[in-house]
Amino acid sequence: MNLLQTEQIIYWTQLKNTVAYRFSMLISLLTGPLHLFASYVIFKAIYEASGTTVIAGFTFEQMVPYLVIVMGTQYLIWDNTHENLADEIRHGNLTSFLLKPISYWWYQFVRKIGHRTLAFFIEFLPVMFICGLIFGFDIFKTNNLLWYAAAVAIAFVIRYFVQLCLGILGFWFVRVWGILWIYRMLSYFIQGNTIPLSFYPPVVQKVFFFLPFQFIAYVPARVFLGQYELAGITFAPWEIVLYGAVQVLVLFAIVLALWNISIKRYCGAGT
Amino acid sequence: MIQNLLLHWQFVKLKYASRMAYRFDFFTCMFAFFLFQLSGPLFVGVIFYAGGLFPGWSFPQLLLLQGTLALIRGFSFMSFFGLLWNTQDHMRRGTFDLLLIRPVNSLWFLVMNSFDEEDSGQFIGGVAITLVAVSLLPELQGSLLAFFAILLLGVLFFLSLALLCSAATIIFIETQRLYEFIDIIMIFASYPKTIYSGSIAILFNTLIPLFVAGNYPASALLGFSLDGVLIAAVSVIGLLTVSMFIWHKTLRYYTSAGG
Repeated sequence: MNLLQTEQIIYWTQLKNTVAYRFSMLISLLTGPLHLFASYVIFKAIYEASGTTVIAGFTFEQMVPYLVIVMGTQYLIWDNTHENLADEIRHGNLTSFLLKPISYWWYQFVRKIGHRTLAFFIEFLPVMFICGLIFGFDIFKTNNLLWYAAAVAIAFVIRYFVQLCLGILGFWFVRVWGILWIYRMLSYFIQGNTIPLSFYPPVVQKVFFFLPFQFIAYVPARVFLGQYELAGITFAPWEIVLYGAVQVLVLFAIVLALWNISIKRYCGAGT
Repeated sequence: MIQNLLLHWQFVKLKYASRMAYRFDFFTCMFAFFLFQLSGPLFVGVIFYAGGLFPGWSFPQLLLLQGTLALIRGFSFMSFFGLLWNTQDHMRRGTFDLLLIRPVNSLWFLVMNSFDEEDSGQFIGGVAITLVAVSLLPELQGSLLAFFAILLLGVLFFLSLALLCSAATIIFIETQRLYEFIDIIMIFASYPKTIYSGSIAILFNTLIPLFVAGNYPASALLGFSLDGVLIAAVSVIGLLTVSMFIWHKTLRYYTSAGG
């Protein structure tokens, strides 16, 4: 059996497994638009009360597609590798993965592709359609759809690596739930999910510029809108996508080093 | 009643004691929940920094609203909101039957068992935000008594939500994503009544009386108008009665799957 066949099996198994829980995904058709509606009402009130059309480089008309795209992107790239890995380390289940003739990382990555393929059809497309009806949002109303797709691909990989880094903490601590919660809370702010990163003070923006987290939410949305700007730095869509590719390589090196150091601490005693 | 309360206290002590086995995780969890409460104020702070405004509310006033919500949320999550995941856990494991045959009121026992020691971080966060907000305000022109009375209504509103979600879990079992609706309610409750248009404001004052969890208690302390608070109070009592009724009703439809 060649490597591609193995991946195909993992992919289809995961896809079938996810189909079994399709109704859980369908809840996004309600929660997604409701979340956006809440943000819409809040930002509408903010813009009206502020008496200005532009806040931190965003007009209200740009803010709506920004929020929609951030939400849509999260459907495409979501994963909970960190929780899975930490659990597998804690319960000793990682042993069975390590014995398989495939890398744990690659296995989980292919599973993620299978999982998110269904999310594209069940969550992303319907929610985009509903947002079109409610907020007049049109996903094709951009000249950068291909660059957006590239930015989503980078977000997909970066999110996976970040989650993997967090999961690796499971080698060092018996329970890492608290740390994962801290990250979860901070991630909404450092990724640009709740507010565009350009709203922050210049010093904070400079820090964000060098971190990979912006590629998970802020960058795909800015690429979709046509122009990237953070900490006074402006990039065309292809430039920021290229910078994202460099960040992927850096993160890969970090995760690899962390994994190699941490795996030595693993002591599986499963049956 | 006294026996139930004593039993409740024993449960609380036991929960803290067992959690101390993993101290590091316990304290990081508490810290995480403390940080979680700062997300609302952080959002508002960044908006104000960037030049945005909220209609009729200054930053310290909005901080007080969010602190109050955090206080109610923190207390509720610590004391009884674990009902949601506790019910689900019992359903999945098939241990709900064991709970029903105990010589204690089932709902009381479930609530007791739902005490979440990690969420004390949320409660501390709520107290801290409220105190910071009060220190930033020049003077409070409202009534402390009204503030605490509405605070209690806020807790009852959360109790109603917890009971409804727990009832839904008894019937549907897999209700993990139901929590997302609670998150959405929290988002709406984090902002003043003034940002909502007429029909939405009426909805949030009657069917889903979420203004009692943030807008009204903060307004009571600030001396702002409390128009509609009585309707909201009646709605909360009504919602609690309905949710209690539904919870006990769903118990009759419970078909054991334990093994």
